[in-house]
Amino acid sequence: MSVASDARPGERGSGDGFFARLRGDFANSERRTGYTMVSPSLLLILVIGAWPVIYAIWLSFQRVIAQETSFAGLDNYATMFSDPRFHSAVINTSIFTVLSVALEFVLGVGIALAINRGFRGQGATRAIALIPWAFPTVVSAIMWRLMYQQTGGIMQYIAEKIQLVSGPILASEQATLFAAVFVDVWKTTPFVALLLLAGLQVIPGDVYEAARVDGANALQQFKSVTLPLLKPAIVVALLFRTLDAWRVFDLFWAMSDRTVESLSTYVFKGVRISQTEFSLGDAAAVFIFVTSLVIAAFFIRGLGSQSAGEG
Amino acid sequence: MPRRDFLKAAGAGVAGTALLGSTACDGFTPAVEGTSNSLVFSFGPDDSGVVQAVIDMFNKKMGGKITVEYREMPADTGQYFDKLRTEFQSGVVVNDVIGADVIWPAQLAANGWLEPLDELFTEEMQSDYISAPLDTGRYNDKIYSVPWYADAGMLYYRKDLLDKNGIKSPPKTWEELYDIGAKVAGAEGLGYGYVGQGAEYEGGVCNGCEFVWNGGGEIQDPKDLAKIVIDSPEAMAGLEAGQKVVSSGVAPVAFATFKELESLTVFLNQDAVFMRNWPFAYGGLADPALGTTFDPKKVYEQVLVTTLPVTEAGQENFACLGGWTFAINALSSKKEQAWEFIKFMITPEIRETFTIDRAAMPPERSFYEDKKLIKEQPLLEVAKDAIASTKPRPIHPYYSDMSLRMAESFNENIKSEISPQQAISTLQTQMQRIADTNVPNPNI
Amino acid sequence: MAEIEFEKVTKSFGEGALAVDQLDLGIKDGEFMVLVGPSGCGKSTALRMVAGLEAISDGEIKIGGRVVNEVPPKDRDIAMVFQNYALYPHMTVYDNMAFALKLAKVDKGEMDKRVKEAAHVLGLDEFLGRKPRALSGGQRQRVAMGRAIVREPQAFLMDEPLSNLDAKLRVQMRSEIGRIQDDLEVTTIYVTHDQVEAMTMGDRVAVMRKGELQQVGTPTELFLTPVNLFTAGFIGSPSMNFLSSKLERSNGNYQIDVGGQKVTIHEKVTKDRPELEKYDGKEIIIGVRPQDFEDKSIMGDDAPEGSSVKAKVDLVEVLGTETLVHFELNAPMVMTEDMKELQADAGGQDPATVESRAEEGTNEFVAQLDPKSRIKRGEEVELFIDTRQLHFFDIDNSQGIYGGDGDRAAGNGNR
Ligand SMILES: Nc1ncnc2c1ncn2[C@@H]1O[C@H](COP(=O)(O)OP(=O)(O)OP(=O)(O)O)[C@@H](O)[C@H]1O
Ligand SMILES: [Mg+2]
Repeated sequence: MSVASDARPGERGSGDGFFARLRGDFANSERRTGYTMVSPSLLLILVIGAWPVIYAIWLSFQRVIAQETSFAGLDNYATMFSDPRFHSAVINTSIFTVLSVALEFVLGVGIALAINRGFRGQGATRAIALIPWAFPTVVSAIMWRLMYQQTGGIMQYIAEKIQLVSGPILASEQATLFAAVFVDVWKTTPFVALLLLAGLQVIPGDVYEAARVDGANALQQFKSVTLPLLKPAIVVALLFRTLDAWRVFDLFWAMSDRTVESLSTYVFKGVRISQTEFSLGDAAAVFIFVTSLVIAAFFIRGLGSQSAGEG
Repeated sequence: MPRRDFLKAAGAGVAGTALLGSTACDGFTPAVEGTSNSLVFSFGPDDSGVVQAVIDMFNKKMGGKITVEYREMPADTGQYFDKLRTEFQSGVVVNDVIGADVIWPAQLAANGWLEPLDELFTEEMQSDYISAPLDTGRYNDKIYSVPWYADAGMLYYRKDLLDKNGIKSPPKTWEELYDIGAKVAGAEGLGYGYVGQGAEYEGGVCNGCEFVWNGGGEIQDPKDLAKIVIDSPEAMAGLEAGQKVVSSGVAPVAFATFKELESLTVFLNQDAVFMRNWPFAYGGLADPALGTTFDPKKVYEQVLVTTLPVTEAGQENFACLGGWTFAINALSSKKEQAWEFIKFMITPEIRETFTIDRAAMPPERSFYEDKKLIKEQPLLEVAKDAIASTKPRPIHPYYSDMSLRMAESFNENIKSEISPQQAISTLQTQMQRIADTNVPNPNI
Repeated sequence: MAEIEFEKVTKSFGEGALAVDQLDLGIKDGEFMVLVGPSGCGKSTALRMVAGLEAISDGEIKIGGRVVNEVPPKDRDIAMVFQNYALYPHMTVYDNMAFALKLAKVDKGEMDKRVKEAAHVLGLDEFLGRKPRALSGGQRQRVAMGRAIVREPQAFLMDEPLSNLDAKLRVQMRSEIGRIQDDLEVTTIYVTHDQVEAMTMGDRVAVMRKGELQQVGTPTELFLTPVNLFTAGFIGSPSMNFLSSKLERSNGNYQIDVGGQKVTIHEKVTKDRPELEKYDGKEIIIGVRPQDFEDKSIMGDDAPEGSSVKAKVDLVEVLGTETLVHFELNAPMVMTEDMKELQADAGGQDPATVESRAEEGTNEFVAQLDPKSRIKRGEEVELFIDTRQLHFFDIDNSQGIYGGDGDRAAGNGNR
């Protein structure tokens, strides 16, 4: 029996196979000992990891007001899905996620390619590029808020000079949303670039030479060699960034001074500020959790199909 | 502790941290282990050091019979409140006396977390108090807090510039203010006729409430606190005036992002004719640390303070009440000692100390007549009328929820994203819904 | 199909010595040219300049008469087989082979035909759908070959394509590549540092050293008439034995001293190498190929007198087809700089050992004898030397001493 073949991605989905295998495993005494040995840690993971999630999901079907909890069925979700503030939270978060991740990805690829070409001071550049990323988000949000300010804000000044905006950026929700995208791009592009750079550096150089000899121009090399070989790194980078962006909180809370709603600020307002909308906030938290799972599944499938194809 | 309390506390943690993963989360602070005669007093950070000094005085006076320990809470009022709530929900007693914002007593008392003080804080003791600070402490016919100091929205104006432009007295109505503001700013080349707090936060709520009240409107029926009455022509007139701040051009749109410091900075830069701000700004006028460009020797002749304008001449004017109160934790085992401490804090001597050294405005009328004290703290006279005109924000167990809605609608009104009519009707529905939500019954 | 010419081609990587120094070399249309030399001698660099993967510092490279110095790799119409194969890991075998054709927009049917044909020739039919990860080293090597073949290019460039294979597979692939090249008649430059590969595969072999071309010629020419000590030592396996001795005349014939034993040199040698005259009475270096020794005891009586040495056997390696015998003689080696480098490069004996032996005045020799020989380790043996095949080198400049037809033959190699 081969463990490797058991772990083939193609077989992962089949429930029958899983249980059959489990039964098989328990028939084998060596494996039974194995399961016994790992069970305490499994239990711990279940308690620490899964319990709060299950509990939050349970709470989202309750009505929690002050000290009282009563069953509410799907009421919280119904209220949430009909709440215009939730709509704008979803719309804002989606716009933010799509724009910031797309920009970070495109710029990240560009920077990674540039750094990968190698030049003097490459190490220093890499370190410097990471500085924005090392800043706590709240700090950079507030720092940028100052720069976006009407009075003495350099970004406001520039944006007006190049006629990008006519009024104060922070007084407009839309402009603030784009400003937040800009800050996020400033902050996390280096991180994306480094992730991708790590991916680029494991692509052997002779493959490019082979492609050049085979007649590929720079663009064709990028399309036929770089992109496919970078795919695992791309998937990881996109997964990280998308999930991060989807849960964006500090940036909106601190920079927009809570005028622009994101899913997480919606949760925060419900759970930590409001006294009557705890359940609504909790339902929104479950919504974020479930949608994050969907996003993760989407990207991991992308990765899975790649490794399955190669196997 | 009832089981569901624990569940709720745990749930807050779950939703707040497990799923979000990004909310700023205060670490769990273990209960301060109080010895039999030691009290814990929770309050935000105090840069002046006066609070600690006064506590030291108390401790010395008690000679070890009672010792008060100052437990510093987050500087951000919202975070402070959040932490307080979480602590109460956990059921662990971490403090005995609480320095509470004027908007908190009803919210805390409704959960049974505060000790009623009617027996101790007698009617007689209350007789000299200005009514608004007292009112904030009342919930369900009981009083839960003792006013500590009061804040009020005031109108700062450039007397020098008004004189120069032939304007004899400060504006009495918003209309006037906008006219004068625009005219003087234009003549003097200033960027702002008027600055105040338009951002979406608690200060914006205060500014918004003032617009409603000074239009003759009410938010909450004074006779029935469970009734929201913001949908009135007067309230709308008030919010129309509020919208005009920006739409008339007397202040730029950036007004909608301003908080206290932003408006003060503009004013200290001598770039505004009028400013709505709290009493603390008065000291700031001459404070180089805040970057004032005024000559400290002359500034108090250039800048004077008056009460906020109204919509139509002759209306009564109101200022939003801010400030802090003392309350006792209902679960404290040292309520008597706690009351000793509060009594000490409101003795005239200590009140004077706070008034002089911390520019904290006392909630009792007599101090504003004390010539000797006024000489030491001129702000008393300056702020007197504003403090006398204070009105509390809605008093309700779910004030936080109301505040969220008001902050949003008032801000949108400033930005003209909604009409004043929309603002009042939205707020009427949303706030009434909140007001109608089951109020917790702490006796269960 | 095209010829490839190097004209004074030089490559410098900035600091340090030149990687390729004034290389002059012509490869005829359809010829199989092997570039051989020790590690770091510039073989790969020379090859990569032809491919266009490395810029040319000076001189010109022509493919089919066209100067390609400025032509990018994709427009040179050459195919390359890399040492590590450089297969595209994310593509199937089929796609790996078809990639260049797709880029060249070759008609689908034609592409399919060519890929399948090549796969068939290389025995890859059943692997077309696999990714490189799922192939053995030998299969990958064949995919790399296939990728070159389907292109039908003007030239094949191969950089040590067999070095990652085990010995048996290497021998097998060696002949396979030879066969394919023969069939296709495509001009080929083949880089290796393995002189056996060079000798067995090349139509002609170019020996390089430190960026400089030493000698070009057919394997036989290189073997029989090496122009200098380096080529002599590098070509041939086991490598040539060297010793130094005074060249003396006795009874009209030259004599040399091999470990105190006089060896008389065949008069044919004297005739073929008139230049030897000049070295009369002087120290020279003498080279003896291991193949030119024989066990006197199995030779019958026809061996000429005076051309044998006695020695004690240190080690016997019985290889079946031949027997290698190691023995020590008091015939000192002059450790010239060239000699030292050769020892290091050719991977022969440990240079330090050789040097210390040289100081003691001894020297280890290898003889390749007929397997009939029954010599045992530790025995005293008499070895016949075929003095007609001796090689002579100037001790100062390491050049081979010819001066007759042989000289011309060696010089001809250079085009
Ligand atoms: N990119 C480079 N930068 C600097 N020096 C280089 C570079 N590539 C090769 N060299 C140097 O040029 C010389 C020739 O290298 P080359 O790769 O051609 O050797 P080679 O004959 O192929 O050796 P091997 O048999 O080990 O592959 C070496 O000294 C090497 O160090
Ligand atoms: Mg090489």
